[in-house]
Amino acid sequence: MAYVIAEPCIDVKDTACVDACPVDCIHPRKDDTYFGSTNMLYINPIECIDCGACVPVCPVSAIFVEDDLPEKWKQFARINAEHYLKSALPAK
Amino acid sequence: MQKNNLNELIQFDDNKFRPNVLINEHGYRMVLLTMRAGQSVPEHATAGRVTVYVIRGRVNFYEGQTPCDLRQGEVLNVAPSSKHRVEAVEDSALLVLATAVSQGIPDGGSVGISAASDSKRANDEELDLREVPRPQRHPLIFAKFDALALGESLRLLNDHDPIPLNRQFDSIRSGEASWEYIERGPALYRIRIRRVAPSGQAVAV
Repeated sequence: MAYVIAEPCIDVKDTACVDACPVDCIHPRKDDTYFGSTNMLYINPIECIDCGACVPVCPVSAIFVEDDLPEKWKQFARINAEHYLKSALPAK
Repeated sequence: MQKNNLNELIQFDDNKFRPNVLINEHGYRMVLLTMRAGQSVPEHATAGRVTVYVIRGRVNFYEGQTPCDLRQGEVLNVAPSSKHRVEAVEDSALLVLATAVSQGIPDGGSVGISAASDSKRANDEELDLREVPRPQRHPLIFAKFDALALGESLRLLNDHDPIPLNRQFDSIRSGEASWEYIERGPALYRIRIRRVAPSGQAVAV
């Protein structure tokens, strides 16, 4: 299970969570070349260690444990994962 | 210069392991991780290289299924992209250093096979990604790439610079692909992706 960034992040992209994350699993970073090409930030579910450090620093309360995602934002678990597309890749 | 007194920074949280990020720069992180006996960090992967130094205490470290007893004063290097987890045997403080994998593959990646593969350039396939629904693009590209023999390539055509794809190649097909822009904007982007190493090191996802 991982943390998930939901709708409140859209067009906010504060990146305080990026700085707080101990495993660099939130992207894009402000200095990533593609920062301007996404409308929100995403958590990589493969890399997330469930520490929750990102939650209190988010200014718009956009981050939830996957199980606690409000019903209306359930799809964001998939949206976060698909940004990294791990689950959609062919297994080796 | 940045100096931290780790002995003063060690604090435990009785509810959960506690990561204290001391440095978080692009490409380098230094984290002080404290764990009460019995607490554990769940399995995860990191694209870059990770070094774990035990300042105090004792943990069981698992790289995949392989356990390692790690005690005060010992240091461990974790292979890039390998899944790992930690269980604290005693109250423990770990210093975790992580470096990112390099972004982009140097041009030299195709050295040594370019002659052999020139003959294949004529019939390599161009994928027009503009015609592919967005969620299907990366899986399609990786499926095509995985089918390539050493030295073979495929070409992508798209209307934006696929930086995230490049990063993903770096992280999950690390060292296997060379990346060459044939055309780089502003309207169209053409990229040749060539297999420069056999598959096998790739991370199962």
